[in-house]
Amino acid sequence: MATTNNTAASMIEIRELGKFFGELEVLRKVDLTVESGGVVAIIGPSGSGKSTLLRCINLLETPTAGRIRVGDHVVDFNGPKRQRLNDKSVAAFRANTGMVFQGFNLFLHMTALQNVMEGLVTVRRLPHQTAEQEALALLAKVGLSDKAAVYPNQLSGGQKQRVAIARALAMKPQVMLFDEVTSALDPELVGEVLAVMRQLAREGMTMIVVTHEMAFAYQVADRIVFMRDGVIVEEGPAKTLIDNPQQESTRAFLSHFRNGLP
Amino acid sequence: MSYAWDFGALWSHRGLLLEGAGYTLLFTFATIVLGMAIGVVVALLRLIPSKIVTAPLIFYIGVFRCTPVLVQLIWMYYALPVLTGILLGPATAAILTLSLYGGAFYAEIFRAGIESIERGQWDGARALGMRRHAVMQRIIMPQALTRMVPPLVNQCILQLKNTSLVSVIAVPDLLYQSQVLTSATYRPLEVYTVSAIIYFLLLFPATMAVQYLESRLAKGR
Repeated sequence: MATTNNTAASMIEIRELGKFFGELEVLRKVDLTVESGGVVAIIGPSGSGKSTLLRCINLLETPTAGRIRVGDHVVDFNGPKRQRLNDKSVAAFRANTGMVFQGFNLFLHMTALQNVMEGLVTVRRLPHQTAEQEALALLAKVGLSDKAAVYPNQLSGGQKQRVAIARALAMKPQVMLFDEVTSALDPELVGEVLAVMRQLAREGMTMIVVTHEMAFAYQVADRIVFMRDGVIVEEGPAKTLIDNPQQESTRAFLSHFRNGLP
Repeated sequence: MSYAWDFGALWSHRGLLLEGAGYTLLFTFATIVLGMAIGVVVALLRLIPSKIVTAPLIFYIGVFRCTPVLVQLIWMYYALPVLTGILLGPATAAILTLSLYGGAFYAEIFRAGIESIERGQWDGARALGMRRHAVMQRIIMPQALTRMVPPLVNQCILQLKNTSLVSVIAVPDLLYQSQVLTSATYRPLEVYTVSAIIYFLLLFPATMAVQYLESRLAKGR
């Protein structure tokens, strides 16, 4: 894993990213740039590759081609320059890119506090007491100070997702990736999670958000990317893309959401 | 029933039965420890995505799960020396066989336990930047172990019962000593009843422990 002196303003730079699952090409020459502090929403029908793209950005899936830069960390999957990814460098890359999942993926044998502390202790290697203070501060930030000692089983979906966000933030990542984080939630719990994400966006966190929440994308994202069949069909400023889509498939996709739009 | 029970002769030879029970416990303990060690190593090696590594392990597990342990025991004691020239004493052959046999089952229990943990737990840990061994040690294993405990204890119970088979190659366990005692006293009914009771007393607490653990696990979900 090479470290370059990043003088460009962009925080995330993806070039010609490709991904095959066996014979199936799920990502084809995807280019994406996210400015520092930018919020990009990725929308598109299921199977369009948007979740795979997100999983590739923090190497939960290994791309088959292309180049990814997040902050100062670069991974290159192109032919001769292809680097051997070892466990340590992959882990370091992931620690810098926080990820929140649709299914929460909280550690079920740990309390909310322990979930948030886990990365602080095992990855950032903070002393226990410091880790606990930081974790408590993060739980407070997502409004869950009173749930520190509670296990995931006893939390609502919205609370689980807020713990998951706190857990990802604990690594002090340069970017946050959100993979359909409200899709598994009861409608009345969606708001509390989106509120935390809005707050993060206001604080200047660089974010990529895969979502079906068009209203959220419209209000919070500066740019929207529409994906279909593994390629980026159209991208542009959020309001422009939603109010005035250029491509036929974008229009067709957005027509399903008319009711939910502002 | 007109049978006149007489435990007098048995009582005077009680040392023999106790010694046999001691051997049974010793063999059980040794083969559980060795078997679990084999099982953990095999289960972890099976996670390596390479056929060269996993194929022999799958073969080993298959052989020991799909043949009767009695046959394995006799084969190890009588056939192995003929084929290889390696002569094993009865105790060595017994421990080796029962450990390998148990190891095959423990390996499957460990593997099933690890694989029962949802992919999301791996994803969550990896996304934090945890290294491979940390993910296994801190996230996967603690959850897998709680699920493994009931089947592991069950296997240990079987392991104790399986030790009775070592009597066929003259290891002086509880069953073997019962046979000795029977030929000395001509009191098979009393001898085998008492030895059955001893087995029961050794195992009943273990089965109760499994039930307790299972109910606790059910509540924990």
